[in-house]
Amino acid sequence: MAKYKNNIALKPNSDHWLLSCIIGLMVYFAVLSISGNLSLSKISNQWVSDLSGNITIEIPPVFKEDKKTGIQTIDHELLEGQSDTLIEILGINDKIAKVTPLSKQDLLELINPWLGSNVSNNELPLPALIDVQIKEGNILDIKELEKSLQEHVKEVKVNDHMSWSKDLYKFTSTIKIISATLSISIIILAIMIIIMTIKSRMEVHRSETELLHLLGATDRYIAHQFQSQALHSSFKGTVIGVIAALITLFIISKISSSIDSNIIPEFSLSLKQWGIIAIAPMFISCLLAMITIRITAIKELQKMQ
Amino acid sequence: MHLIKFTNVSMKYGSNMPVLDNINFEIKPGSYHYLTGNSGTGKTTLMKLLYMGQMPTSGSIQILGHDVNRISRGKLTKLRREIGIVFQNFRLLNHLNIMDNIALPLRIASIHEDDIKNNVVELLQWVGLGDKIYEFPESLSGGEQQRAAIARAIINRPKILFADEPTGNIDENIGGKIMMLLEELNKLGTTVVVATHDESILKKFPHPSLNIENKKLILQPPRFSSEAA
Repeated sequence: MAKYKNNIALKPNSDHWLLSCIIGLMVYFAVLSISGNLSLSKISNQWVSDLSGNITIEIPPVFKEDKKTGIQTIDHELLEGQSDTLIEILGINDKIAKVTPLSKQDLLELINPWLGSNVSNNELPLPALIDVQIKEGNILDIKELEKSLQEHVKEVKVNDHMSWSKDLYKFTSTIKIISATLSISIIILAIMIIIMTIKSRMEVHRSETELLHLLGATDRYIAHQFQSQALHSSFKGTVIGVIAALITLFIISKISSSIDSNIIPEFSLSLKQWGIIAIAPMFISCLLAMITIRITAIKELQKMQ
Repeated sequence: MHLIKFTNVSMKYGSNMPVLDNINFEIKPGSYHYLTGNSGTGKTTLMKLLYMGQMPTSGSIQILGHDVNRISRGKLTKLRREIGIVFQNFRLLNHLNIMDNIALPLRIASIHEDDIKNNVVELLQWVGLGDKIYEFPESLSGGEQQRAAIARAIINRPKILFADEPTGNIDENIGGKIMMLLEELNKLGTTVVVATHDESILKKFPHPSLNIENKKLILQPPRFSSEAA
């Protein structure tokens, strides 16, 4: 312990706080970016899992005309009849596990985020939808199925959810790459700031450093003096950054859970993920700061006599 | 046999004229030399070359058997621990108390904390600062700070002690006491080199001088030795 007792006059001044603040800000953004990435992964995995193995049968609305008034309205009876026919046909397919027609209420809930709750499906030309779950491990030829169903209902369409999920997956992957790039940029920026801070601090304490060299101190010993001081500042900044990020994430989590929406997914992290977010940045940023400070200090010291 | 040997040493800064030109001299173990010369003649430069604070532009410097121009960084560190330096402006660290200032070379050398304390307390009593152990440099007088600086320079029991104007910032009476300390150290076997321009010191404590004149070094016998006797 005696070996590394601090000997350099590094009094806590503004640049200590500056380093703490910069590191804190970097950690704050890095944590938000990483947790956003984690959350996005969770959401995209959920989307893919929800959509895989499902198809939707869509029967477009059929209209009938009132002979007296000439007004066109949806022929619900015909639509229901067509739906029942298709449910029957789908039910005997041995590759299909479950056939679920969507009720009027289900349809209204689907359009609720866009059109609000004060809409009646009698007023809108809504199609009839049938949710079909394919048996696990089976592959259904969608075009073949559509062709066979069109023999009974000419206008029917079969929608494969996997094609949507591929697009969603592509979209979330792009956002994840942008987020990871942002995190890496923040880390690189933090390293550059630490290097500049250490260099300027070494310049300020040049006289003390020179004295220690003349008294027989090794570069390692002197680097440790700077390292311990800067590490203290980095740790303080990291703790502040992590706490601020956790508070922000907690607020986002509360707000997202209070929004009753099918469009905006709820932001939620597992206990393990919360733990990782709280501990990993502290460990990583302190380790990164320690290595950066040590390498910078030793390189600078080697330039001296 | 020599502890220090300068062979054809020259020193210049940038493209200016050399401060020291083709200097040659040897210092034997246990000797006591003054380094003299008028202001601006290169005393400080020569002192820095002696305590390896800078390297010569040309020529060879041998200290304790090592060629300092070719020495590795690791060996240079070890060699510096064999040397004690008393700086003109003391260079004590103001945020450390006297105990920690004196202990600095021992801590750098990874000496055990118990041994550090015993050695520092004993040495501070020898230099007359036994009651100032936990005081800070700024609260000490110039003479006390100089004695603390000497204590720090000799705590490692160095083979060579370099003192740059050790009496420069203190009154004559205290200066005399400081010089007595250096005399005692020399008697204990330490090789001493003192840079000074104080004629009264040269007169009171006569030793050979390395005098710098016109960028050259001339070895002079003890001055005023008859008066001092």
